[in-house]
Formats: sequence, structure tokens, C-alpha cells
Amino acid sequence: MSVIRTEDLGKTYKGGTAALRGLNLTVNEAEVFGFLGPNGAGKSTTIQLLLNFLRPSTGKAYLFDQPVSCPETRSRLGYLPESVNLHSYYSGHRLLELYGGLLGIRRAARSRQAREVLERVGLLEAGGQTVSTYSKGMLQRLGLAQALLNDPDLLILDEPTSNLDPVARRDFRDILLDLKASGKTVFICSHILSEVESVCDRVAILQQGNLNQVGTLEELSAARGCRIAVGDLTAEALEALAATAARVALERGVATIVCADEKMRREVEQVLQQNGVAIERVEIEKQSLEEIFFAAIGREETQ
Amino acid sequence: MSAVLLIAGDSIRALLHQRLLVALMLVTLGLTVLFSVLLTEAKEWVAQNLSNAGLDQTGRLDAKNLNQMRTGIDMAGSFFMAGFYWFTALGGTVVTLFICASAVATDIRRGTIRIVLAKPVSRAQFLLGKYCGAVAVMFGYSLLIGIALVLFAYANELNLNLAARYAPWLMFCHNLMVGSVALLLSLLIHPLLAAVVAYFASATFLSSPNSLYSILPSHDRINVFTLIMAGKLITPADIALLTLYAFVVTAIFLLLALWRFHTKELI
Repeated sequence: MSVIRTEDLGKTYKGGTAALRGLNLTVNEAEVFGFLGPNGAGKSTTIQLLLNFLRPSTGKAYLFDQPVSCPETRSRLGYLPESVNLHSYYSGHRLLELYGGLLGIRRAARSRQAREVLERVGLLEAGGQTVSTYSKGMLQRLGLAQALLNDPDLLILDEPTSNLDPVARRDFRDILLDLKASGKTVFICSHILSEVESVCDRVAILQQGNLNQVGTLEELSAARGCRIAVGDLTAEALEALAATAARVALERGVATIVCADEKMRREVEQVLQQNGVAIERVEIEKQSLEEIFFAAIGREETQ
Repeated sequence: MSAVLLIAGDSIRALLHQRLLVALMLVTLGLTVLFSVLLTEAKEWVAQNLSNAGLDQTGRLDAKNLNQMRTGIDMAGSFFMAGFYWFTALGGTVVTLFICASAVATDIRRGTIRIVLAKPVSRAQFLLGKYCGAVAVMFGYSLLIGIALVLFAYANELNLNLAARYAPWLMFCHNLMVGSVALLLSLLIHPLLAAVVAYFASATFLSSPNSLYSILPSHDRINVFTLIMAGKLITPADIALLTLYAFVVTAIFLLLALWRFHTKELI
């Protein structure tokens, strides 16, 4: 079962601005999915479409294989918005009890569950304080607490660590890793690429409303290229390799063929096989998520 | 249903947090005292003038002058009762407009709606919850006015005619309608503008015909101000009909608001 599925999902705002174009995306159960893109790429629009805050111009979106307009899907969902705006006149604990009521949690269990999540996000002691007295970091923690209140199967996080200090960030990452270990699905939208890289199983990169890339970090890296170390290269093999776009170099005394992408790699492997050259080692270029991201959005020069 | 009640409770709490209800109670009490003082002064003034003009040769009030004096005092009583009702009803309308025009719009502006609607709460439940919270406040206010009206009449030895007796209930019905109009308009235009337009859509305090009412809903049927002023009686059947009218109008505007909110994009 897919947890999130979009089919040709698009959104054009009044005035003709196309924020999202034909997004086809599937997020599977127990997956931590990173959703990346520069500002204005359409990430927030996608999240708002998934939460039914906006109506799609084209296509459809599903949560747990049900249309997003179905309120029941949201009983299995936790959402932390980019700007955490909460009712400031409650105490943190009382506010969570209110949200617990909206989530259909029985009255008797609300207080206990509120305490549990407050403890989980490190706000138990401040739970009795009025929300208006909370700092930005505390608000972000309380926002996370309300998102975790119903032990959701899917957590949608929009820039979750933007207001957190390094310690709180580490705590947050630990919570995410806990969720991952317990088989929850997390859809995380963040500008902090190292954070995404450390927890995500797959990432999608969005640019100008289009899905640029999607896959595991390994898959996206492979698409960027590889180095093939070979034994002795014959003159015939060198000549045949010249016909491909691959570059041949001598690295630490070993003949190495540098391939720019998967297609080139296949061509080179074919040439080597035809000329009887043994492949000693294939090193897939390990790019950081940051490198993948900048390459995807066409800003290599900024690195 | 539980979600509607929780959201309604939250709306009331938000209003209490704004100290709005406390301020309303103080204003109502203040008005009761003010009108009581003014009425006492008016009674004395009427009595003084009539007694100066109407003493017979023996220096006593004759029967004709006595009747005139009583009529004058009754008129002053009705006038002040109507004035008292006018001010408090105006206050109620303003409060209703404030609450209903900002009920959903404030949550959208502050972004608090996003977390609520990310829970298994439908938009219809959210809107109805907000409206129910506003209705509870309007009802409380009308009850307060009712108590103040009775106290005012008792303190000044005035008879409450049927119109005056039902005035708080009719004010509540009127506010139901005005509130539903304000709620609908706030989903279409800026809340402040919505409140102003909804006020003019209410004909209660505007007795002259207004061209606006060819396109806006007129609530003149629930204008009890003039009835109190004239000391006219209205029957329980009239009250029932007016109540039904208010409920039907409110239901229509709420349905329109639900439809609009359902299709609205929460940007």
C-alpha cells in the first residue's frame, strides 16, 4: 500500500503561476522520504495539496489510497507546518488535550498521551506554561508534539528544524530515527540537506514545479557517474573507448575510465567486454546530497 | 459532533481571553445604571412641569392633569426602555459582527487553522464549531440583556409589554442572522468590510427603506425597537413566526457559508 500517491498533480494559482506541474510520486510504507527543492519549487504547494488546503488544478492526490479530501485519512496523519502557529491562550498540556479531542482520542487517555509526547519532545516541565510564553524553539517542539500525539502512521514535516538549536536538532533527528525504526512513514521537507541525508531512505528533488529526480541516494549517485578501474588496456580497446564519451585516466598507476552517467557506463562495459579487458573495480561516484541537489537544479557553479 | 463542540468551546475561550465578555457585562451594567438615573430625572421633570401647569384652584392636581402626568411618565418610561434596548442591542450587533466576521478569518490569517484541519476535522465541522461558539456568546449576551431589562423595569416600576419581554430573544434571533451574513461575507471579502456590509444588511436600526436591501437581506421583520417605543403589543404567534423566519434565514446563509468554505483555498 502506498502512503502518499499523486497522479499528474498540478497547481496553477490565479494569475497563471504554475506552482506544480504533473507530479507523479509514490511514498511507500515505512519510508523516510526527503522532499527537496529551492524556494518556489512547489514543495509547500505539494504539502498543501496533500493536506487538502488547496484544490489541485490537475490530477489527484491520495493518502493511504484514499482521496485527500477524506477527513478520515487525517486520523493517521501528523503534520508539522513550517510556521508553527498555535492557540496562544492555552497551556501546552491543555492545547494537546484539545488536539487530542479533535483526533478522537478518548477523554481519559488525552491527558496521559499529552504528557507522553511532551516528555518525548522535552517539554514536560513547560507543559503547564501558557503557549504565549514559549520561545520559538519551544513552539517548534510543541508543534512536533501535536504532530506525534496520535502516534501517526504518516508524519508530514515542513522545515521541522528551522527554529531549533543544535541540541534540539539532534534530539529531533533521534526522534525521526526512532520513528523510522518503528516503521512509520515520514515525509520531510527541509533545506538542511545534511539532516535529510542522515535520515532519508529516498529523496525527490523538485524544481520550478517539476519533479527533477527521485530515488535513493545511491540511485541518484549512480546516475551521476562512476569510475571503472581496469587491467591492461590494449590499443584496440583504447581506440574503441575513444568512440564513447568516457574519459580514460591513469589514477594511482591504475587505468581508470570515468563515466559521466549510467548510459555511458553501460557502453563502456560493452566495449571492455568486446575487447577482452577485465574490469577490476567499479566505483560509483559517491556524491553528497548537497552535490546531487545542486547538480539537479543546475547550479554546479555555486558549489 | 464532538469536534464541533470542541471548536465551539475553543472559540468561547478565545473570546474570554480577549476579555470581551467581561467588557460587555460591564457596559450592560453601566447602561442599566445610566438609564435608571436618566429615567428618574425624567420622571421628576415631567411631574414637576405637569404639577406646575395643572394645579386646580385648591392647589391640588385634578383628575385630568393626573392622567396626563401618568401618561407622560409612562411615555418617558417607554422612551428610556427603548433607548436602553437600542444601545444594548447595538452593542450586541457590533459584538456579533466582530465575532462572526473574524471567527474563521482570524484562524486563516494566524495559520492556526492548518493544524486543526490537518486533524480529522471536516471544514463543515470547523465552520459550524466557530459559529456555535459565536451563538453561545450571543445567547449569553442576550440573557444578560434580558436580566438587565427586567432589573431596569423593576427598579423604575415600569410594566414590560410583550415586545419588551421578548426583546432579548428577538435580539438573539436578529444576531443569529447578522452573524451568519457576516460569516459568509468574511469568506468572500476582508473581515472588516464583511462586518460593515453585514451591518448594513441588517435593517433593525434603519427604519427607512434602503436601496441596499434590494440585493442584501433585510432583517426589518425583527425590528422590535419601534414596537417597544410605541408600547405596542405583539402576540406569541408573532414571536414564533419571527423566530422561524430568523432560523430559516440563518440556515440559508450558513449553507452558503459552508459551500464557500468548502471550496475556499487556504493559502
